[in-house]
Amino acid sequence: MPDQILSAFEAALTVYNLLAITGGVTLGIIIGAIPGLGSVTAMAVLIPVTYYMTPLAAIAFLVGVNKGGTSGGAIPAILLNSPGTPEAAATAMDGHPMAKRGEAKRALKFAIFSSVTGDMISDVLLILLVVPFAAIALEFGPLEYATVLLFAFALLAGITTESPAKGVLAIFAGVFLSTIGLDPVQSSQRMTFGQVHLYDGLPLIAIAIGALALSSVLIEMLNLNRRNGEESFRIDQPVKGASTALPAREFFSYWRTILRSSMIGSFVGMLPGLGVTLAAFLSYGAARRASPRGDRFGKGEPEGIIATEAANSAVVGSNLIPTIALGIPGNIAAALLIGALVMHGVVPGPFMLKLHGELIYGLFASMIIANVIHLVIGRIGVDVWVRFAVIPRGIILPPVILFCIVGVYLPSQSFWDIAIMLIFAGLGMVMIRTGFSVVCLLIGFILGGLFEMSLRQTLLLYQGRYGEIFQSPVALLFFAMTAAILVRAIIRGARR
Amino acid sequence: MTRGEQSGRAAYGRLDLVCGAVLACASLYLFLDFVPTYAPGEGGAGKIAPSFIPRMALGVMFVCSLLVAIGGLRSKQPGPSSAGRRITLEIVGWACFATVLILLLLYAGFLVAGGFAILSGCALTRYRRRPVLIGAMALLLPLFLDWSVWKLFWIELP
Repeated sequence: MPDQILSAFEAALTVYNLLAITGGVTLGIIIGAIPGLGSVTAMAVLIPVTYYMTPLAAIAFLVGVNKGGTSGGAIPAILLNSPGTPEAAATAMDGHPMAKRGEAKRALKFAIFSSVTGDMISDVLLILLVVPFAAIALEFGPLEYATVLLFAFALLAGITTESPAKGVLAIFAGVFLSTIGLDPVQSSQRMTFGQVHLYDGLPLIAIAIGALALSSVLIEMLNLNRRNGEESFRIDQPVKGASTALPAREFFSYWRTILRSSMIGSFVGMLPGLGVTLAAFLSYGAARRASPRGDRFGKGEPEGIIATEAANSAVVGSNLIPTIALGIPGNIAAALLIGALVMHGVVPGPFMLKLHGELIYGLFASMIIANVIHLVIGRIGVDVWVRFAVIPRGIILPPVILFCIVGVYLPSQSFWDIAIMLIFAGLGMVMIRTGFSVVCLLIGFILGGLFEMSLRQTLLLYQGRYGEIFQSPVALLFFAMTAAILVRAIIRGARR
Repeated sequence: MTRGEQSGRAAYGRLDLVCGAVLACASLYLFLDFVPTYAPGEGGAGKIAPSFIPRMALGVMFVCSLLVAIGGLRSKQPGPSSAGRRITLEIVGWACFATVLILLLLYAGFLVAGGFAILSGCALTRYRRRPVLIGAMALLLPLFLDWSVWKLFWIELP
């Protein structure tokens, strides 16, 4: 293990890799700081750019984007009371009152320090836990895989969407779309109409960029149109005599909140389907209940910022545990990383550690290095990021359409992919407007292939002897948890 | 519950009813006609048919669509709503924009299509404070992207 870690740092500490990480973190913070965009949009648009990078630099770049984007959302939340990302909404509750008191810089420092600390704790947990998790996953057969995927689908639909029926519908729409192309077992054509473009299935990158990035940008633009243009942003200027300093001793005096929030974020990140937003609000609530200054939360209490930022950043590392160990993404950012890994010829799952051990350990080293770079860039650039947060959205959103077109065209150089992106942007727009989850659709699409293979293998293996299924305790456990989630969702629906 | 919330819920109810009904019809058609026509229904001796998983997914979608429609029917209350019309307008507008964009990309190239996308995007967001900046961006950004993609990746944009 120590040898692997040393060689991992050797691979990660190349100039090329460091540049990729620095670029990723910087772009992540900038895009995250623009209200209406965010880390997921940034990752979706930037994945095709990594096509020409080495696998390690590409994944390190995207992890940097995710880390930077997650913390970048705190900048407009604190300065403008306009969270760049949904998870930063809780940051605004205490960050903006601090900014109004003239302590904007101090609030931003609390945000960046908490974000990096939460991230670091989560990355250490990832490094410690991923090998035992993968070892367990290696014992899984197709039945266990099928039940784990069903559990992930139920969790995703039951917890992350308001209507579980809509969530399940979106997931299985994604599974259905994933079946277009050549059948994985017999290689017979399914719904391809004889078109060569469709033999490999629908292009994941085009769907991800269209349904996630372009649709959310379009919704923002339409909302601006309805509001008759942009409201002007005003940053509260520092009050004379207000403190801007944040000594390390003062920051670490909140060590209990930092640790608790990082653990909450890490735990939420490990469970498939649960998002960063849930972690941020769970942690904020827990900190308010535990703190002796709970009554000051919402009025500019630094502990509120620490709780939110440490938790939402802690999700970034730990959501790679199910991604690497099982090939099941912890959230949408991890799902996009799976897309990037596949693009570079790496199939996520328990065999990844065996087959691509160097890449994975290199990624772990890059994540630790990314935290240091994140701290330095985030701290130095405070005054610069502020400028990005106040650029009018009317002028920053239209160019994103161009970046989406270029991003989709780069890997395939095909108009077909651009057309698919535009179609899925329209579909994503309708889904957002009608309350269906685009994230569910995309995760269903990404996991559809794995789900099909494991289900078909299970059906072939047991050939009607379904009583034998009950001999697998893992499958039984996941069946029971899936049933519990669905029953809970039905009861909640009936009460409504 | 306020009147605004009530009409919002009613609007969502009607939307759910329409969405559920449309999706139920679509999944039923795909299940009964489309998939059997375009995916092999026979899997060979002892094997699962390639159409099995798509049809299973459509079956689940059909049941869920009915649940969404029933949920919408239950929460349906009288009250004016323009949500459905607005979504239809938005999607028709997007379809027109996307068609023009693809045609421009095919026949006029990236530079013209890029300029068109930026100008129409700025018009949509009603940003009119700096017309010179918008014009310069519509002209220079596609040029810059075209040049940098060629220099970095040796790929010619359309």
